[in-house]
Amino acid sequence: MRHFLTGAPLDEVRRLAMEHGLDVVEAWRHGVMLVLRPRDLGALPDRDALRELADALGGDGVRYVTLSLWDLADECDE
Amino acid sequence: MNVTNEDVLRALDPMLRERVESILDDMRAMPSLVVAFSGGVDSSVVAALAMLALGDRAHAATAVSETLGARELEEARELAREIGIHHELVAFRELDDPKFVENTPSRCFFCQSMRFDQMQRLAERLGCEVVASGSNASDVGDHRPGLEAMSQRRVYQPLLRHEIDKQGVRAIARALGLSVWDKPAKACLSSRIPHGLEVTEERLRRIERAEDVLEDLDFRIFRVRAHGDHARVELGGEELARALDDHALLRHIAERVRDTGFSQVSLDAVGYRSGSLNPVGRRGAERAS
Repeated sequence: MRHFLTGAPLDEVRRLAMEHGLDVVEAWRHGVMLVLRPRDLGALPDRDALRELADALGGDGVRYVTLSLWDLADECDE
Repeated sequence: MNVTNEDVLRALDPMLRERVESILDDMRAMPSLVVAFSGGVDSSVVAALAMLALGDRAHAATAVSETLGARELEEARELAREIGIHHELVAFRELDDPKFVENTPSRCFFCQSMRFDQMQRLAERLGCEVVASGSNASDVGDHRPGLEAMSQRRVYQPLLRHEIDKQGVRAIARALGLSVWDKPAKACLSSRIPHGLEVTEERLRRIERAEDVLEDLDFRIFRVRAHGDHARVELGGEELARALDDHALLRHIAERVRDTGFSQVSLDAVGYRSGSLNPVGRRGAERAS
């Protein structure tokens, strides 16, 4: 079950992500995962920056930070 | 593989050489031996040393169950031929055990218990007294309930007994001329399913198909962790860097993994970590294989 971040929590995630070179459109929790949807899969930070971002966003029940590559829900909405 | 004892020993550093000699001494004192053989580098080394020590009194046995992928089975067969060891298959069903299916942190204990009970039955049929495994010194300290199952059954674990770690195993494999000397470690498919989610045939096959996709895309170090219908793809360090630089490759990964039946596909930001689904608080989150 997904729980989309909104308001201040989403703003904070987007701010931290942008600091590490990642433009995030939306984010959600899926159990212990924090899933980030990048605005552009062609404009991703390098591996080191991504790892630093994962460290910054981890904790508080978040065990994995992951970038959404594809979602069935997107195709159903089209 | 075509070396004499002396060839193997000459290529190794003195401490490792001494440990290999001790293993060969152990084995020569046994009438015969069955090696639990996955086709990975650890069990391959044990099987190859068993051949050196015992010749046709050494046997390899691969456990065939729902958690073994078809490609891995074929690789095990090829490797047994490469080593020249007599090779048997032992079939059993892990999914018949509700304790395994439940997928608690003790899952491996139940699985290895079943596996080595089958190995011991095979050993009896072959007239062997000893069953060996490829557990090595790098396995200690991590969350490995499977080691407890082997210990209870007095499985001979030569690499562990003689304190040979993963790096040492690879050095021995290379000295022996084994093609798998640098093969990445690969745990059974059930390790891709978080504890608390049942292990099912459908989930295992879907993971297998998704990981075959990554292998076909020339990735070597990877896992597809199945959080329900969400596939979280872990890639090894350099391979993660390659993927992040290639938008088309990411799209390709997404589409191909999607086609295996997942409803969401994501890329883990940190990449492959051995034991990343293990309970929090235990060692072994990141370890080179």
